[in-house]
Amino acid sequence: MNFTRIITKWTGLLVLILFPYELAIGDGVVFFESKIRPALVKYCYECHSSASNELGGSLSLEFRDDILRGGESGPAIIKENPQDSLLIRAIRGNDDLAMPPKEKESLPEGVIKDFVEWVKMGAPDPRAGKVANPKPKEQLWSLEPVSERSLPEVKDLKWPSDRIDRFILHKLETKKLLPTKDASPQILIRRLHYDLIGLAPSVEEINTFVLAYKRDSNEAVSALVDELLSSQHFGERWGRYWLDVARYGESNGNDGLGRNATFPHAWRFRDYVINSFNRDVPYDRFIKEQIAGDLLSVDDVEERNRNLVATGFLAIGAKPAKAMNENFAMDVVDDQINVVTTALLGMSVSCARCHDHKHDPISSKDYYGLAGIFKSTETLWGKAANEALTAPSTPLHELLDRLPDNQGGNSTVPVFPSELKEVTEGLNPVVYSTLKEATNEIVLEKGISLSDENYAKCNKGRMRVKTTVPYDNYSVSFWFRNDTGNSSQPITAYLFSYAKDGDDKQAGENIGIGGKHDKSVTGKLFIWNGTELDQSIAGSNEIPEGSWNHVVMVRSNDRVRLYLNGGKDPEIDTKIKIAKNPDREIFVGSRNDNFAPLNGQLAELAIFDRALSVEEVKSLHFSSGQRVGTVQKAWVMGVRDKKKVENCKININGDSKKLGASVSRGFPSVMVSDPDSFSIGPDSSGRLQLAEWIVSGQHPLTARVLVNRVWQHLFGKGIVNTSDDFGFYGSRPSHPALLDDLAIRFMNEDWSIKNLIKIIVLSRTYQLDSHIEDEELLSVDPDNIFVGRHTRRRLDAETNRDRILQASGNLVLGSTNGSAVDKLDVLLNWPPGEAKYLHQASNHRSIYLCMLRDAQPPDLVAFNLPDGFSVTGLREKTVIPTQALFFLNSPLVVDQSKVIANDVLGTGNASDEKRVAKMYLKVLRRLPSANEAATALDYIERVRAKLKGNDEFVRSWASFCQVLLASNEFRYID
Amino acid sequence: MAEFSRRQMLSAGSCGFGALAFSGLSNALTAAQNNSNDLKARAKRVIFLCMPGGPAHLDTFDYKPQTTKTEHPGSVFKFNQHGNSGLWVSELFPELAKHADKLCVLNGMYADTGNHAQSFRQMQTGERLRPRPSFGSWINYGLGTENENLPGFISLNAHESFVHSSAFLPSRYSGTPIGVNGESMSDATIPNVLGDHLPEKVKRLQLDALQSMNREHLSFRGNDNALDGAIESMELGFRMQMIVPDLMDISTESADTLERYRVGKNIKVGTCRPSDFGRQCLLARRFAEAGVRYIQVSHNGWDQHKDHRRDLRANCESTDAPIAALLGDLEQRGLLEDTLLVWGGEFGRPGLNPSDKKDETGHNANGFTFWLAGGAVKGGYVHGKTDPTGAKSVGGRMHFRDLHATVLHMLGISHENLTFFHQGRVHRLTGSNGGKVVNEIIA
Repeated sequence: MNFTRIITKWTGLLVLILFPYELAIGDGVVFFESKIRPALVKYCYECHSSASNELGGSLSLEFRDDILRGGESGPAIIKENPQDSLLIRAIRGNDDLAMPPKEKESLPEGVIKDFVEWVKMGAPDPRAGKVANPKPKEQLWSLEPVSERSLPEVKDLKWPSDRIDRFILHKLETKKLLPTKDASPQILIRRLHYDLIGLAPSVEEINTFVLAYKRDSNEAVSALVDELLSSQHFGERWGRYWLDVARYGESNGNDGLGRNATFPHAWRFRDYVINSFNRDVPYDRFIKEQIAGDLLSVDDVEERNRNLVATGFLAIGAKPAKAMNENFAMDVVDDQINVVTTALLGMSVSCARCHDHKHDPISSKDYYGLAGIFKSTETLWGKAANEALTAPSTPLHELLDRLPDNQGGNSTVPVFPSELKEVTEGLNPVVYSTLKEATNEIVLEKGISLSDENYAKCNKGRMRVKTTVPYDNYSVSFWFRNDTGNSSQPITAYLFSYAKDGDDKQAGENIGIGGKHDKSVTGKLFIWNGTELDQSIAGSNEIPEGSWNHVVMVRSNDRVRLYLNGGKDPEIDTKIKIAKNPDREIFVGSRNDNFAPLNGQLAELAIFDRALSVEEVKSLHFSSGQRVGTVQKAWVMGVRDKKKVENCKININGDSKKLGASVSRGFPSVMVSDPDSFSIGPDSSGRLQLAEWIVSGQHPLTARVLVNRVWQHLFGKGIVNTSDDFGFYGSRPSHPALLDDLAIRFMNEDWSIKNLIKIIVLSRTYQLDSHIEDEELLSVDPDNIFVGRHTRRRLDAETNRDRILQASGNLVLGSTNGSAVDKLDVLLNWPPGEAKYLHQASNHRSIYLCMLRDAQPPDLVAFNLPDGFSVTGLREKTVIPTQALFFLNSPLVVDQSKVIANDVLGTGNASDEKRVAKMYLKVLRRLPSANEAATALDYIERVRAKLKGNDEFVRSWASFCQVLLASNEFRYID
Repeated sequence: MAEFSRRQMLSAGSCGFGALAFSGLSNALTAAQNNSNDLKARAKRVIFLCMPGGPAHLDTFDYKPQTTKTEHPGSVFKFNQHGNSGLWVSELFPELAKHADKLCVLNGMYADTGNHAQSFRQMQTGERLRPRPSFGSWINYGLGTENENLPGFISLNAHESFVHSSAFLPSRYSGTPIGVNGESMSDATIPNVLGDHLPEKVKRLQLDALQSMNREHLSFRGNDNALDGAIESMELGFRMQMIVPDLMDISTESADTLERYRVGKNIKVGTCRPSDFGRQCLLARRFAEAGVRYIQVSHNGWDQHKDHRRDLRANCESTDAPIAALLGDLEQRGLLEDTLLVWGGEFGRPGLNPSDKKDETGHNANGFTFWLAGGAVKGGYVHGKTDPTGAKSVGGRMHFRDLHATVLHMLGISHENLTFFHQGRVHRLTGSNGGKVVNEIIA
């Protein structure tokens, strides 16, 4: 009784003390919630809870105190002695206590073990009052500096091969346990392929590896790991993990008003992540790019572009609608704070938006210090489908071909080699000017200025050429850049006109860029012969505003060809009548009547009194040294500093209308070791300093969190179970010294993720078998906390689909270099039903499928795909019946089964045994046993009989293939 | 979260005896709650007729005639009294009005915010700012399914994924959605539940072959709950595909029934979106009969800012007959006594002046209407009221928290005890502020 009372009074404290070190409070309660409560509900509550008609044996199991108090027979559990506890004796059914009663279903052995384990853990049970007081006096473990750890002593010095193994073995030995045996090479190569590239090895690769392994296992594994790490598929596998924590999505997700705007450019962030993993960008650099890529100095334009794409990390979040939402701006900031702190530091500070954090040492002041940094940052998400209610339209970062010049702006004037002049002059133009300086043949009207740097700047002016050429036989070549928005006026610009000055019928040759007057030609080049003949022919390429382009027009009798940027085929190739107009003059940069003059630049004007040949046109472009084809501008989501940098005031209760004190921009005080070294100047948002603070090497969380994420992906479970929560209520590390040791090795090896993975997978621990014969190991450590074996894992959503396509041979490798929505800036569920059509059939790897929020790829959605709204370091692994339905009926599984069946059957006169073998090899990558083959043939025979007369041959084999694809052997990795 | 054995899950559901997921808070707290552990379930299942957008309470159920010489905002449509109770119902619901004596109208509802997204989220999850388990998930968690071959929670035509999200509750308590992203509700179904590539007898052979292979696989691997769970889950999926297509095949219903529900009728006017609400309601009845705990149907488009009169009429016409048919069928089958119907949206709308030409309304979170029917609620009864212009709830005030607490109460669950431990604290549907059970509306 004393004990009970103490428990009641000092619940929290005692729970903490009673728990074994590895199982801090979070784990114990999680264990209870996942294992014990469902069992109590299922097997016991009917008779032992307030729902019972009569309380069996006066024992209630509904609350913790009930269990401790017990019923007629005394306390239900004895924590010090699980085996003798009444509860355990009853459910074991060894003596007359047997429960549940005979007529009910008895408890499975696994559940009984769970109960034993639970009692051993001290019977953690949240069902009575709140758990421990969440204000720890001591410093949170995860905020202690990462420290050098000495290698622990082990008895079996022969077993470890890496430092990792010493830490693991030490813990096992202290628990009087031994690691299980090493995995076979057949298992190991599958595991490595799955873990590193997410694809299955071929049968040949398995055989080769098994032979090599027998010769020299270390050498064989090391070579295989190097090969896999350098595969392009590595980034596709590991990049996806990062997209999970970056809450990646290609649409906003429902904004609360039923609108879901696409993010047409988000896929570039996806490719950036994949490439970064493949290039093994040091993790500290990777973080800096994503938080402050726009603020880093760069050496070349690729680096510039990459850094800007990286900042998409902060811009791809889901936003609630702007309409009637006073807190919109702070909602965006909140998402950014959340992704930075949770993804990179494993500690969310978001609760502090409304109040000081209830348990982790984060105050509202800390939150609003960070908020000031992001409030001083402009987030570029783009047009949001031009729906102001959803989100106000913003600019985007532009990807460039060359670094912008120092003058600012994005005037990337092409640099032409001297060869251009030679080639042009070699074609005998009647007029030729680079347009860098004035010549006698060209009259510059008001609004035109020439310079070496910018050629002809056209500000609604016009150039008049003194020479004339035959109307029916001439050519003109020039470069232009248009700065007027393509949809901002009826005609965007006229570039060229060969007509009588001021003629209001414009009879002659006119070249322009379409505007909003006719949407089918917006932004496209067109040629028009005046109001009387009124023939107008347009090209097909939209010319991006602000881009430099090369036009060559060739008139040859009634045929006109217009070439754009040296393209293989003419942009326009048409017959168009020649307008009769005797007093024509050539105008460049506007029309003959000054309508819709060009706002932009012109360069390299050459006029020929004959029709140039195709080869001559090509040579003109080729000698310019510029790229062939229309420059399509590329845009990316991201962030940049606001012009005005400001601190943020505390929003009381998270309400932006109730403002408290202003907080200086800064970082959570509890995590700052040396606040002065990261001071934020008055003119900078502080993002760069934030990034530098996170990756300084001094931050206690950054490396630990990353190392733990990597470990988790390789073992199925982290050293810290809650990989996104290193806070007070997160799990405690099972191997704290190992975590620190790895964190230090990681930082010392230049934050190389590939190197970290290599270290881990070469350890003996990683290479253990997942099967154990040692019952002791299983019963002492059912959840494999001490890693005495490997944990069997289910294929995740992407790997599942990829491997099905791989089995059928239909998987398309390589990037899509785009997305199903890369040209769609629309509300994707408006009109209703549209979203599902965006998931075009694709056989690319799943990471390239269009990840629309609230409309996820149908082939992945059943398998715990993250929703893209919150940071997801650890995916759920629930088994739900829609997964079974996927294997039973989904078009993917059904179709690919048929593909495989046809392939297997197509092999000439092969025997049915050989066919079964081939199917096994394709799907399970192994040969069937004699028994399996016989069973398969028997099955196929029976199905064939049932399907008789209805394509039974292929369908019976396909139905068996479906069995293999749905089998646990296919879906689980040992 | 660790995996559950499929066997555990299934039976936890199939027991379905109520009060299953209780976890007492501190005893002190519980004691203060007036013996709320001794609840008797008065309803076994819930059908939520969800009306997103903010239905205009003054033109549907909260009658506000003119009371002063100068015109004030109030009802712009005619109201009549119906049934023995003389309940006032708008002319826009002629069919539903015939069931007036079944309705328990809550005219004193109020919400925290007139922001659609937040208020809708709060209506569905109890919390307006952060992802939380939905109402249906909590109920599914609390009660489990009655039919082991079906999910315990089915959500039709949801326009927000959090409607069926279990958030931090184990995902088996999440709803199974039918028709997302505005899919046509005339043929929406559970993904992959239909597969006609093989006849049923072959599918049985196939399942046997698969399971025997899986058992063989397991036998070499010893004790593994996950593999065990996958085997059992395959069985459930198999049974679902045998049952759900028939359950959702409404072609077996009589022509009269299809007509009463107005199956296939879609009105597309202004904000009123096609939802085939008739099929939704008919499916709701069939799911309820089959033992699904919580069914949510949805007709979107009550946010009629402009063209208030025209669009409201369309919304009412889309839903009137289907709801009436559902009420009638449930009653006729004896299901109404243990099925609780809930009707409402995230808030209401301010009133218009009847003779004013103005035809545009906004949002009003300070006073609006929900109604309940079935289960143990008083029929033909009005609880709560707004002021004479309908702008503000002035009596019998009920927040979503109170509604949630009351519904749980009628299901035999104390909202104080329906908890889940997550991220360091105990969570409840009704949040830290708690809700108040409104006993006055319980018969």
